[in-house]
Amino acid sequence: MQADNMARFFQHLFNRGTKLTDEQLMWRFAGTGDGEAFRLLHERWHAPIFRLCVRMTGDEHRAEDLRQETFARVFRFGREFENGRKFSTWLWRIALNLCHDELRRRQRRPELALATTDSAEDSVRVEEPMCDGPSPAQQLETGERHAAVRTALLELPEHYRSVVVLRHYENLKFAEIAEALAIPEGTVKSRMAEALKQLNTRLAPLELPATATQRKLLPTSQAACL
Amino acid sequence: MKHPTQDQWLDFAYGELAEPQRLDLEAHLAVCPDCARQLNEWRRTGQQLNAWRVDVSPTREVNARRWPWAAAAAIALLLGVTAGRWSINPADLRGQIATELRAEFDQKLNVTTAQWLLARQQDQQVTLDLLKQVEARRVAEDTSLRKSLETVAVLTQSGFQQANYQMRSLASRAEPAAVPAAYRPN
Repeated sequence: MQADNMARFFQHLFNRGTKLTDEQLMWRFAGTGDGEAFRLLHERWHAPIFRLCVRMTGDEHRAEDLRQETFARVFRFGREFENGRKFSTWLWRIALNLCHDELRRRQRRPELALATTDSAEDSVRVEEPMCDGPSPAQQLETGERHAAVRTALLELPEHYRSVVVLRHYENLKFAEIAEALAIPEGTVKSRMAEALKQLNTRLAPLELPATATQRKLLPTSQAACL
Repeated sequence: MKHPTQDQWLDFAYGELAEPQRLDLEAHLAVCPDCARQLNEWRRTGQQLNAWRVDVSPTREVNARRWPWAAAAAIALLLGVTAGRWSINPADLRGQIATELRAEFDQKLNVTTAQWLLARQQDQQVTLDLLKQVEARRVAEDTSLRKSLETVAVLTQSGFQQANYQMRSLASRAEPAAVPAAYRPN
């Protein structure tokens, strides 16, 4: 009997969260207040939500606040999560709504950033030369390109930017984006096409060659097929 | 030439097309420079977009990094427990399990037996009470019936005596005398 109990305990320990879907974890959290389920959801999703907020707002510090607020809302309104709904869609929508609120607030009260620790500038920083690493000139070029893309994306209208971020960077399918934004899939695609057109106009001067070095930089986990 | 729609090209560019449609568009791409130019523009823009990388700082991944160590500790613990299990003689283990099973069975049997005896005693008491009530009701009914029968007997006897007297008076054709008090009904 004790051996069986112990076996069940270890099975529970190893199955816990590793095989459960996001929806199962959410139901467990909403139904029983299981803190471990919430922790696992946070562990799975904090990085994508942070990246989304950074790319929507262009501000890492504010993005960190928005990420925390997103999960605070999941914690607070977890009981409202409906059965049969996809957790990721619900989460993306919460985060996007917060980003929209933040951007509207900025339009009403423009703020001047005192300093930025954007990763673009981090990557511009010239470090000690290494035999196999990129040269200072290459680092500078990469940093400039990074900054240009960031600027071009942040200059896009918000409804175009959200589609580009979700499709290109977070690799959501067009149908999933349509569900998250509550708009028709055709609208998502027309926005994507228009966004790519505007980005092409802004980024054309860069004329990035598709070199082997550049291909190496492509994020495989966020595999965009373009 | 009929060109695929913009939506189809987007699905193609982001790998959302099924294989047959993808092959159709690839064939079209080979013969249509306009569509090829459009797709190349998107591809170039997509490659440029990849230049903006967002790194999640180590502090944000501290929990994620903690998990492999926890998993390693759990695996080590599991291996230790498994090794401990294997180090036990199977015969001893079987005997230990049988003893535990028997003790658990005996305990459950005792509890069940005690519960059954208690229920049986309660049933007997209830049945006895019911029998007593039925007996008391029967005695009361008998007593009442006896009283009724005695009343009927007394009245019948009085009626017979009165009828006897009147018949004798008629037989003697004499004026009937007053009925003696002894023969008057109560």
